[in-house]
Amino acid sequence: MLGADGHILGDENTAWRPSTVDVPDEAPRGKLDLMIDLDFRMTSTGLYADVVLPSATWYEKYDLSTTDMHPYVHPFNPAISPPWEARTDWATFRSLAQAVARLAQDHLPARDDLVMIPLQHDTPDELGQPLGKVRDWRAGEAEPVPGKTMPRLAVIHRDYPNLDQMYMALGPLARQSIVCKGIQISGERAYDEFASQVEACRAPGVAQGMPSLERDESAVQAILTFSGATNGRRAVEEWEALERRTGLSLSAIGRGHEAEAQTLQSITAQPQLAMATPVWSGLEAPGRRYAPFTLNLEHQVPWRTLTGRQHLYQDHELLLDFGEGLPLYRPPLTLPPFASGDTHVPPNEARSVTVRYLTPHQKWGIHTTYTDTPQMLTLFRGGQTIWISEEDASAMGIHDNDWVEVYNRNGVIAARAVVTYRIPEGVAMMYHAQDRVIGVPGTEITKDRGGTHNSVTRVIPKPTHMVGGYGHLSYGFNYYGPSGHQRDTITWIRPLKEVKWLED
Amino acid sequence: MKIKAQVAMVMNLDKCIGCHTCSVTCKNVWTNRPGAEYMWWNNVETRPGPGYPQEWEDQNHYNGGWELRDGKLHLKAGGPAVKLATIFANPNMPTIDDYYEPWTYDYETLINSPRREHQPVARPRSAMTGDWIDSPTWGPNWDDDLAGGRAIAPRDPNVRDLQEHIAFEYERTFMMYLPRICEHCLNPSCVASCPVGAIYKRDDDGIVLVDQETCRGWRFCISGCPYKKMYFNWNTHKAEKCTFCYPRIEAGLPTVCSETCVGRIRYLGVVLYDADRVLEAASVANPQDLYQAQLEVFLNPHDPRVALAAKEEGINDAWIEAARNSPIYKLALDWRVALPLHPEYRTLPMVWYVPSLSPIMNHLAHEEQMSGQAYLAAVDQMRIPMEYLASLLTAGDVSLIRNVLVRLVAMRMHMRQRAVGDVDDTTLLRESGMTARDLEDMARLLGVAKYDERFVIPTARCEDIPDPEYLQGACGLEGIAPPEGIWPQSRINREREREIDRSRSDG
Repeated sequence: MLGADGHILGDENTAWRPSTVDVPDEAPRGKLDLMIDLDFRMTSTGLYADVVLPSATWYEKYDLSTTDMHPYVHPFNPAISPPWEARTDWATFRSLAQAVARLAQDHLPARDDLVMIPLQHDTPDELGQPLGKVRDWRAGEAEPVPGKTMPRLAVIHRDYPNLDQMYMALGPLARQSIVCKGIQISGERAYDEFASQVEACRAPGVAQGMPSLERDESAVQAILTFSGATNGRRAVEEWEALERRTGLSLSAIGRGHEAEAQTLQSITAQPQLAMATPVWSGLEAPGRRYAPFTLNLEHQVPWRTLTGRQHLYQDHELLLDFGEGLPLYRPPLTLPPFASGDTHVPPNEARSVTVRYLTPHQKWGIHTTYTDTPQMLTLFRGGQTIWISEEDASAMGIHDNDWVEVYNRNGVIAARAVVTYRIPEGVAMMYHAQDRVIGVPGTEITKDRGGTHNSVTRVIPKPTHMVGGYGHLSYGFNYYGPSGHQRDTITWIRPLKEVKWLED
Repeated sequence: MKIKAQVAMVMNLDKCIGCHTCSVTCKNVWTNRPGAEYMWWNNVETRPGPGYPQEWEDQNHYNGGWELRDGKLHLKAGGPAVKLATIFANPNMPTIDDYYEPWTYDYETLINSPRREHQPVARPRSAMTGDWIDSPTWGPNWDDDLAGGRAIAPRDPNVRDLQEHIAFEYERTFMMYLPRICEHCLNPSCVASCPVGAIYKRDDDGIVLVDQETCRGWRFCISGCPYKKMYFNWNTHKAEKCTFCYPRIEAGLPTVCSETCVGRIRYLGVVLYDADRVLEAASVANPQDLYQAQLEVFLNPHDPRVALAAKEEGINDAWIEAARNSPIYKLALDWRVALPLHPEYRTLPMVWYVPSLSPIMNHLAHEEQMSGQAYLAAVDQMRIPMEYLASLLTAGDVSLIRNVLVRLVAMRMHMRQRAVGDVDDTTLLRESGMTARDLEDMARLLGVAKYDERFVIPTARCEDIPDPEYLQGACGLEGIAPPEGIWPQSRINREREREIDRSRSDG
């Protein structure tokens, strides 16, 4: 995909292969026609991109930040204007939309696409697999009914020539309804409120007369106006909607704040306590901070599960087949570092050790951010490291700060060893996302630059996460679905005899 | 009695998470410039470990601080005669390798690299020589979280005499963080070491500073400071040190390290002390008596005689009031849970530490049925050996450490008893020697105290500024502002003179 070698040493065809999907013997390889990176840091993504767009940092733009575990929505305000050619994300995407729309006039007319949508959480799709039985319409076990026995199908109108206008306006769908966590309110009032706060689009075309989102401040304001956490009227509307749905008396929780409408200016002036809303847990009720399941425990709102209660036993047939009807301990997988058919790694004269490989979060960065600054690098060892036990180090005959190769069928890493008695024998720990832009030499095995902490891991989807269409076991974006599980890794480590910087 | 006031600091090690935010913000503000690359006025050490600079506590090697000879206080490194003899080759001077050789990266190559066979990578290079280095070999936090293990941790000077209490093995691992700044001592050996008198302890707030105009770069302060918190700038050839962020302190604001501390472990407040008793306190025979001696140098601001005497020394009401509300006074004197770092150096340091509790070594059977009595026993089974904490904070007196740990455990158990009601805290209350009310106040200050409770800092005393109107008018432009003043008096005077001139010429 990047036009670079991933240095996978494993034989792709030794893995289990599904019988119902056509898998070619050789996975297709190639390079993306165009890779664009929008980042204010030169990460390895930037190094492999065809185009790097200069991006404004947090201190050069308007934006919002919050979590659902504290009751504040924080504004970002530019301390300085973006320097040089840097633009805010909003401005960058606006420019891209304009460029695409201009070219689309001649080259990319509007079209309709048919897309598949997984059976969704908080919708009637949750009834897709009654009694937790998988009925495969492909095997004739059921009629193919979109949204019931198969994913939903939808026709999406993609209006490329009008992309820029649609990007810069709040469109009519927002006026119809706002839906979150199964709670639906009308968007009419929010839309009109927002329209009264910003200018309307003037240019003739699809967006004419609609409230403008041209500026990033307007996008921020739209979010604040449409969210019950920052707009008291929305909060009441959401509580009333939940009240209608549950038959419980809930709207009093939101009352008293109807006149409050936080704005970018008001939360910039000083932090403002958000408002309680059923779609966000940052504030559970006036004076009630986040605690898990407060809505269900203190207001008797049914859990969003199959039974509407705390739900421990899972009777979906896939979970039962895997023996996971009830929570249980699963020992780590013991996938071997290499299998027959894999690329042979010729031994060097040094001894290697086999370790269980862990990748916890580091304290010198948030993922790769900050890890490459000279100060954070100075505050530890100034480059990629892997922690190993004193027993394993002595078995390999290496000392603290010596270079090692970490390798298995998934790839090869070059790093310096941090030897310690803090971790037990047989375990190695490589802190997450140190990136490979700083001081990473070549490896003896690949004769190419060493990889990152994830070079020896491999994504292994957990089959039970594929269950869908059964109550709470239904897909919700960023909430429930197959996740990239890549932690049960066993790898080999051996001394790296010679440091080569590969500057050719 | 000669009363002085000092803004002092306490760090609660129980809450330090070793994030180094204090170090980074300090560096960004103060030492991010040529000549200061290797300086970390604030650093955080993983203990056990040799620290920064390496093994700085080994005074047999560095000869920092004071010692008692024939009952009299002397600089351990020797007086003026020794200094003169070694002025061009000070044997006690740390070398750059004791700190580390600062390095940077060839970041440009990530942007400018031409198309090549292999992905470009920013290689490290020495910030001193510019030479490429394959891998740095030491840094200011090289042994973070026991990195380096048995090859490094046992070089901690504190563990050399504690072998029977310390094991460097997985099952018996212990670890703590020690954030450090200049101690702004009452009896600073850096000040005494300087051959040209360039270092001074400020009268108003006790902050120790280097006069950059007077400093001649002889560097005896660097070896003379037992905490190794004096640094030599190779660019200016002058000594530099933690300034306690005096421009902020003067404005009533906490130091940058305190302000930005994520764990909120730092406290700042005023302590009144009797300058006339400093020498006597620093000269007590037994190093284990130095803690008590220093406590006796401090004065009780609630005592009306002290307040009156302080006023007579020119300490204003706001400072006396601040001394009464000082979180430092509470932690160090009222509750006695804060202790000085290495009192045996006899400098009477003014940055004190609350020692850290740690998990207990052995598995607790039937924890749910544990009595207050059992929790008392747990104090003796904590992972961090009390002997280790005593080596850091009490010149080896384990009983003082135990007293503090009992108080901290009593506080937790008492608060648990109040909130949950499932432990009997009577034994602990009795053992701690503190009242329930004190423990509750301490729990508040150590647990949830807000900004203005943690930092009680009066603004600088400005009653004696000779010409405030002029300073206001000049507003930092004293160099070009007319010395006779600008506004309003000078202009009024000038206009009046002109009027008189006119009337004269008219006449």
